[in-house]
Amino acid sequence: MTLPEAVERMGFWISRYAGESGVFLYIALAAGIYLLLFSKQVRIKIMMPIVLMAMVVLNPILYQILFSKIIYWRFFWILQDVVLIGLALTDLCGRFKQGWIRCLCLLLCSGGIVLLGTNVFRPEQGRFIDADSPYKVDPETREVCEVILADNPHPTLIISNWLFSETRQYSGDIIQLFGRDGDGYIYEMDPAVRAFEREFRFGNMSWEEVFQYAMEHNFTHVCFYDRYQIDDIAEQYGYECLAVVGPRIIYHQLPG
Amino acid sequence: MDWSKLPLWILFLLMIPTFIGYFTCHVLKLKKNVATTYLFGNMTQWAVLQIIGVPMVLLRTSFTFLTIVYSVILGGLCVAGILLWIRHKNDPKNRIEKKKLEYQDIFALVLMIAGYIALAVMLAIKQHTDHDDSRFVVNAVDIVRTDTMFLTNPATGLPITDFFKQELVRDVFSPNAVYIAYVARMTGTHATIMAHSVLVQSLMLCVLAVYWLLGDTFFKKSVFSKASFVFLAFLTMVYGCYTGYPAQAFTLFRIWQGKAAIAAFGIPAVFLVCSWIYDEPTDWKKCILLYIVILAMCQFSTMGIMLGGAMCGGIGLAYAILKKKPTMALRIWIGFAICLVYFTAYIMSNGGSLYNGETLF
Repeated sequence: MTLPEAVERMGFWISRYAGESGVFLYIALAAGIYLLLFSKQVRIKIMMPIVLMAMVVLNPILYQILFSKIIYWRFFWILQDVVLIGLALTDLCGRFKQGWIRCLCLLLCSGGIVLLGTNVFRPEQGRFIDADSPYKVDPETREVCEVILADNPHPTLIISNWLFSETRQYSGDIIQLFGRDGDGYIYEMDPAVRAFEREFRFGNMSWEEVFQYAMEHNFTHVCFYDRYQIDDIAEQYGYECLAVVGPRIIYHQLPG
Repeated sequence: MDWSKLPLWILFLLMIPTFIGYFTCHVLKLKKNVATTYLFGNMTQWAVLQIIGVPMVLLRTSFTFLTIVYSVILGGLCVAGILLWIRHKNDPKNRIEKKKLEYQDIFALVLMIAGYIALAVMLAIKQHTDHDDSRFVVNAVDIVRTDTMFLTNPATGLPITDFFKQELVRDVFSPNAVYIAYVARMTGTHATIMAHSVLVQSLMLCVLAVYWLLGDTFFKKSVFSKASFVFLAFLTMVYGCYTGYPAQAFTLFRIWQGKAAIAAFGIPAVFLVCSWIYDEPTDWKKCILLYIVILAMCQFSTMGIMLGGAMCGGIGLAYAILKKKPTMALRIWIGFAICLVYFTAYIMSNGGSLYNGETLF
């Protein structure tokens, strides 16, 4: 990696970290400058170490040698924008002698934060939904798992798409052919399983091939994310439709 | 939600850490209040787990064995804390200084308490799902289920023999999932419920404690300023999640994950303790507290090993320059050395390579 490339990558990560508006990041930087200038204690104990560490983290040469090999943007957490914004605004409010002006200043600062930001809990932010259960997994995952576990308390499962990230959170008794290791995370996959997973997830396998595989490896349940019911094919390989849960179809192995 | 377990949650997540924290604060001659005892009691628990947990994971002991040993240690610390509290509760040094609160102090305190309650309620009634839990939380589920530690592939549930591979090796040297499994087992709670619904509240109390103590450090006697700082910090967290990357996003979205706990209160705690060290550079006890916090950071995540080491290095150097005392740097750099031990073990377990999959950490 050349130096210009390192600078470009650093810029990419900074802009990705800050997002489209990044206004709070700029407020944090302004808060840091305020604290450097006007708060001796914070300047010495927090800001000077942050400045020193920023000189290391934002160094393109060090990015080339080290930071390009790790999750770089997590080092920006050392900036601690929440702490800096809180300290700066509190210091500002505390500079007034009269109590009522302090309270007014606090309310104004709070109003500024509310107006400039967005409540992360609002549904349109897409970050939170209402809790479905104490497990706090996706409702669809919970429903699918409940159906499967009611049928067999120790199922072995082939399941497609993102549900495989959550099924084992709901119950560790569920054994899966693959999970997020299919996306290259967690643990290395067996090459034979990898071959199946690639074909299965990208829709390159016929239903007959899927059920053939499931039958040969004795999987008790197969769950598709598909609109089509393929009961006649499933029955040829000893499976029948157990339930339809939303857009998911769950097949289970017939006894014997 | 099985509310019959509430007494056990209070016992393991509130009372035991608080009494352990009383012991820690007494030994290290720290001011004893709810914030210091709760925060540093939890840090002590996590530091102990890091010290005993990593060798036990490497030696492939059973989870039951770790549970027994860990419980004995925590139980001993807790009993010591209770005895010290009984003995010293009437000590004049421990009396809460009664201060007449002005109306602005009450105003700020009301905002702070209301703001925290609102946040706690939102975190209780809302959920955020994250695919990383397919490793972090499922590891804890499998630890309880199989009584082994990191010898199950969390993606599939099948047993494995070699945990020095890909992402799983990170959990070996930062066994936060073991802590989740421990409290889940001790309280009879499903590990996923423990992580997503119960531990969230306990860890947010740690966030509250560290911010209160930061306010206490920089605004000393002003109750208005301390309460205002905490309130403004929480407001910024809720309204200032500009992307999914900053610390506040990780705090609200997934604090039960080790790296998120580092972002939420680990890094602020390092700044907090280092600020105390700056004021009393010859006090070794504050340095020991820093090492406890660093060990807790290492327990949470390999990112804690990196960030904790980086912070000790940077803060130590900055303080040494500002105070013109090189010995101050050396004392703080012992925290860096602690991280270096775990970092070296991690690299050696990876065959001496910096790479593990796509990235190192």
